[in-house]
Amino acid sequence: MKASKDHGNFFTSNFGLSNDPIPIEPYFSSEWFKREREKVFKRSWVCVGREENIGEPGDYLVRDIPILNASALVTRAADRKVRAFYNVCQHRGNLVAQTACGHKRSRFTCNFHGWSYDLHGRLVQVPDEKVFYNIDRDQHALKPLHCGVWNGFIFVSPDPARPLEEEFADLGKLVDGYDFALPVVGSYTAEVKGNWKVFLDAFQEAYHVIALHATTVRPTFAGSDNPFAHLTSARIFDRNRSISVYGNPDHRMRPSETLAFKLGVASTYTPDMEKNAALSAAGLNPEGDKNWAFDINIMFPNMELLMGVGWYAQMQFWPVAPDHTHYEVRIYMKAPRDAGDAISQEFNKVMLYDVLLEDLYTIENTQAVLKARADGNFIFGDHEVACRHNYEVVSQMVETRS
Amino acid sequence: MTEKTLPAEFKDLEPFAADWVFPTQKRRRMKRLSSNMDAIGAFYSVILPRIEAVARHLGPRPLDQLAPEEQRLLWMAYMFMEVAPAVEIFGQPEVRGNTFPYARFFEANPITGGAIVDDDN
Repeated sequence: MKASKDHGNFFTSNFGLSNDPIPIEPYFSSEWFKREREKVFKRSWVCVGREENIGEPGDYLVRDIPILNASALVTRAADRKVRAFYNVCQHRGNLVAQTACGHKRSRFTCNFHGWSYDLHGRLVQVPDEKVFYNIDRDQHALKPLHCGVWNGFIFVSPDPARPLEEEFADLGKLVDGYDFALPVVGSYTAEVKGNWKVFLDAFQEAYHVIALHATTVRPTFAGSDNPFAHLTSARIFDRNRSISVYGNPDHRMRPSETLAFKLGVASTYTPDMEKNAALSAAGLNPEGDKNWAFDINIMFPNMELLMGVGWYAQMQFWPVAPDHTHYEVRIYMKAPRDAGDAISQEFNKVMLYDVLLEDLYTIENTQAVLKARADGNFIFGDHEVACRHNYEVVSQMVETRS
Repeated sequence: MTEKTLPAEFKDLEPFAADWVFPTQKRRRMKRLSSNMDAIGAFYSVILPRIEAVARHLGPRPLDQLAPEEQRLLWMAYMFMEVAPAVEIFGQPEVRGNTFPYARFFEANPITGGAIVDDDN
């Protein structure tokens, strides 16, 4: 849905969302967090990696998922199929795979008593098996997790409410044709003392650009015809959502930025909006917005893809505790054709890192004082519609009896 | 014996070759954060007008086929991008204003998402 010129209550009402204040208890309560574990995360899909990470039979990776109290073991067997299991030995519960990732494995042997499993999760060896009273190996295979691949991203779920293809079908139509198999040029992580929703909300609106990023990217994403960095469009697909961020065509570039655009592929956006539109590949700018910079596609519950011309970033917000989130961001860019491209990309990497330090700053401060105003509210404006939608989706799931 | 540290055409940048060439973003960032603005400004102003020549000189060759002195030249150009915000925006090595601490925002293993705390990344 394209932004209206009358910027009052537009997206919110058109998406059928309320404009009431939002109770803040869900953003710090331990009780609520427990229910999110059961009702949201156990019933949803979370991303554990890219398909290229385990491209060959025998490749595997291990991913800790704190909110599920689980470690996932993801394998690719000789049939090339990707499978996922709880990384738990069926004997006495030790981790089966102890290293984070690897290649050329045909089996995983628990280092406690030596029970072995193959890439299909089948129990293939039990030392001194005869003392186990005719054990039925089929009954003691690794416990599977539901597993699927969407646009090259591997997702797992303990008990999905819907099949993966269905969950992300509509969002998928937006990004169809986009080449996600790009090289990772930067990968960062932080442990942040903030609720995962406080965290996600900081990355699903652009209203904060004018204040928080006043010295850095405000002139890039706000301008005379859009002084408050209004979204250019927004979309909701059931639990998922997508917003498009404005780019200021009149933004005056700094010397390093001028060089970056002169030398290389456009890696954030070029203020030459005609060129920007020409460069924009399939899967970007779904509503053909004028003065468009990039899209943020939020995949419920804890991942988003920020997608622009020649680059995308994957962010994941892993809940650890009501007030602790493990954050990961990976930046992918088209492989540089030459040194000019590489120098240009370095501009964007450095800028992004510095700007993220500004973004991360508010989260701990917000969280630190939330409990003190336990009966307070959040007020979400129309351009924070994605934050509101997330609250409504989560509370609906948490409050469902089942 | 003197090993050629940068290509001959970039003799003017030699004075910076010993201190401003690092192979990783993390090391470049640490150099930026541990330098004063006089040193950063001196490096910035000398290399700014040379960046386009660097790109031209290295040309369209695959980046994994650069000679060692060319590789150092490219890393020096990356260092320019690292210090540019300090000079052009902040007037200090760090982001201005209150920010999340640099020391808690780590380079990560792209597959596992785990922090890499050693010095080489």
